[in-house]
Amino acid sequence: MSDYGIAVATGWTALRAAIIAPWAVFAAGVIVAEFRRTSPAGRRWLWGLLLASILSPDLVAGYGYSNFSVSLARHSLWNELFLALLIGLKAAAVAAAVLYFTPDPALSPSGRHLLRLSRSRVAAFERFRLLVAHGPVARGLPAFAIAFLFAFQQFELPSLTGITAWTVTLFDRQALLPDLADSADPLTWPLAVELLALAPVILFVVRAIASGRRSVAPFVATARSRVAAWATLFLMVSLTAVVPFAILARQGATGFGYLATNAPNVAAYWKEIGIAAGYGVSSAAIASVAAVGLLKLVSLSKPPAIGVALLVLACVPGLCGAMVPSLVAVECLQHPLLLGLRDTLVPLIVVLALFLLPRALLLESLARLLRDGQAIHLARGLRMSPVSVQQRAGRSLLWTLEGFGRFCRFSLLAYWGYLDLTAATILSPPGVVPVTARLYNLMHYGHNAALSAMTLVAVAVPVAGFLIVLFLRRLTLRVIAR
Amino acid sequence: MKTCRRRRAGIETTRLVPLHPFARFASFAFPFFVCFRLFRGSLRRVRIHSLAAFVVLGLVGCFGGNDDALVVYCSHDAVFSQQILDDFTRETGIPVAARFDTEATKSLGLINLIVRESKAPRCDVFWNNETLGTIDLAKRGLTEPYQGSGFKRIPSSFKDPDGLWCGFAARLRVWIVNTNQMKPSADVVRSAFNLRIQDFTYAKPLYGTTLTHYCVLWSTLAPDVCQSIDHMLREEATTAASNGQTRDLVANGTCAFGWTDTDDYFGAVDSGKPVGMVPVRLAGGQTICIPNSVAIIKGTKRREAAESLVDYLLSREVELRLAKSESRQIPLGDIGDAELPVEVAELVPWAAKGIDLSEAAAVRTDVLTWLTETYTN
Repeated sequence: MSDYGIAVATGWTALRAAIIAPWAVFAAGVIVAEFRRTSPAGRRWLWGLLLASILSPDLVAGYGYSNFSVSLARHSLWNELFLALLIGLKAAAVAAAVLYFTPDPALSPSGRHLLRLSRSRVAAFERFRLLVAHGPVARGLPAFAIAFLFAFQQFELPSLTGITAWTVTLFDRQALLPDLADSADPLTWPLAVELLALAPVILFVVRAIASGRRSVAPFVATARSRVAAWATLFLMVSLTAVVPFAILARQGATGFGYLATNAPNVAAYWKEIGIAAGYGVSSAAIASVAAVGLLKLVSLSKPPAIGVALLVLACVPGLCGAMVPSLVAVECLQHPLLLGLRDTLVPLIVVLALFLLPRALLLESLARLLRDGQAIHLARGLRMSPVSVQQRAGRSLLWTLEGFGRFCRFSLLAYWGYLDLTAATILSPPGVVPVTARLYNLMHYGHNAALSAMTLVAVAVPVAGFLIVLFLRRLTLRVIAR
Repeated sequence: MKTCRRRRAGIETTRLVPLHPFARFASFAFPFFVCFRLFRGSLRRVRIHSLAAFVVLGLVGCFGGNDDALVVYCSHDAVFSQQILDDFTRETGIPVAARFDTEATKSLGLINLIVRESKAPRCDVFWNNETLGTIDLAKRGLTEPYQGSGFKRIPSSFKDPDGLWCGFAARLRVWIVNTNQMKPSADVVRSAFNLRIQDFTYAKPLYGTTLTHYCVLWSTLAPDVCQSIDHMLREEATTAASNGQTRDLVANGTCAFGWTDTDDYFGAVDSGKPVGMVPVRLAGGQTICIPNSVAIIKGTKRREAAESLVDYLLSREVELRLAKSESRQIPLGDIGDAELPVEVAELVPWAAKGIDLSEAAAVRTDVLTWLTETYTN
């Protein structure tokens, strides 16, 4: 496979992402305006809808729509447009989440007005530069870059719906070529695009850290934009979560019998779920520790630029997606000194931790932004009380203020680690393959009831695990209280 | 390094003894513990996380791999092969760690992985769902000869004379036809291939049995004829990602007919789809019969266990089991028609007319080079 093939696939995927990203940011702006307008209870619903779309696994959507895509095999343009719509809706959800927390631009509305008034004194280029670098454009840049990267890095959806993407081409290429070095060279194309897209995010993060600004500016929601926001949200949740899960549930209804009766295969399946959970939890633990440590280093570093540079460097591999660091790891593992690690789980867990690190940093930063330090301090004081009732109350308060959030952040990271497909497929040693890799393999044989049921159960397990831990915690507290 | 003996089911294996679990725990967890100690002063708040990660990493190190297991790279459908490998473990006590590849790139992905790892092989036995790739590995000197009990029961046309690989349980390349749109007869599909090519579908020929199909066309027709057929297909027919997708396209009526394998065809039949099939026949009347193949990989450290798996796979019982499975593989050794499912028994005479794949194997590299250029540019 020549570099030309990868270059064309990269160009095509970049073009698709470049078309999707502005639309996603526009849709995100409309959704965020609705966020700001609505009541706290309504906001919770909106967050629920956004998260349903963001957290709905691509594997489910890809498998759910694969038959539909097959029916469009002779109309590839329609298939391409449908996939672009799916990716665009998910990218809009991600962009909305980013935009919601993006700090306000340095140039306030009054500043912009003054800039307009000073037309005669400030050169046109300088005015343009100020508007782009410090005005409303700057506010949308991180959301645009993240939406672009999200669309650019898609793997499961294009792979299962038969659409061109550099990730699929590269994934096949690393399987097709006996010499892995031949498949590492073309990494330069997608890497160049990814780093180009990352530049505005990095610039913005560096500036935001330096300025310490928070997002408070009101978004103006008109009647028309409200309709657009709810229509987008409806489409988003329906197409990316509800419909694929409904397809699987309808097909899987008869497949649950298979899970109940086919003991040998099901035992292997549960083992693979356990393996995936192990990968997810261990990589999430490492990413969480690294995120806290890195943020601490950034706050302690003098001059601050060193800490920021360290932060950016640590994030770059993860922001390039799971496939790029996985291929680099495979290449590194050919070295005689590292060959001993090849058959262990260490490479996969390290790559997954790197992949999760930017997300862990983002979640940790957001948690600190929203943290109520005074209340936590008071709750800690209450926990130290000699009176046992007050101690319990303090513990309960601390859980509400701090512990629950930490648990949710950790669970979210573990969920992403659990669902990872590319790193697991490339790096997992024989016999220790996680359930996602197995399901992805089986999905290429087409739809069947057992596979739909297996996919549903595999997605339900982490959710059930999350709820069980919460339930056990509550149960333990009740027992202690008695 | 020390060795130990295993005596189960009359099998004696020599294997490396892994590190003591505690030593493994320490080797994985110690570096992390050092980092934790170094940063302890500045990272007071992360102690619980650190402790959790320390324990998890240590446990991962402890239970991360199974040095004992026979490593099998398998490109046969995991749904069927996993059960057979599990039964092998149950019967012999030899644990198996299997690596399956994705449907899209199998078996080529695993073949290239074996080539890539040839300096430090980790695969002991390669169970390929086709033959040409295994022949290629044998040519590269990456397989070891073995002629055990199973080898002897397979006809000579389906195995290497030196025992570098051996075939078993075959599939046929067939025309799959949507019976609502076309009659499943040889004349009809041949005429449709000339007149209705826009209704035809085939899997991307870079991988698997479609690659074998192309190699056979390349070796039996002239290369330029094969290239012109492919050009016509790329221009006018529908290219699917896999044989499974080809089956779905025909079964759902999106395309009227296509090329696939018997196991995919039977998958559509079992789903109640309106499909029929006609074996692909070459100018000389031969069919394209593609056996599974098995080989011991050069440099294996578990030779005796590998031999026992090869014997197991080539046994009558496994061939019969694969024949009775949903994939209806055609046995190559003598089974006795009485026990064979009717639809498999009907395929046995077709399989006997299978073309000798050695010529196709000789041109595989040329075909693959051409296809790689054609389909990835």
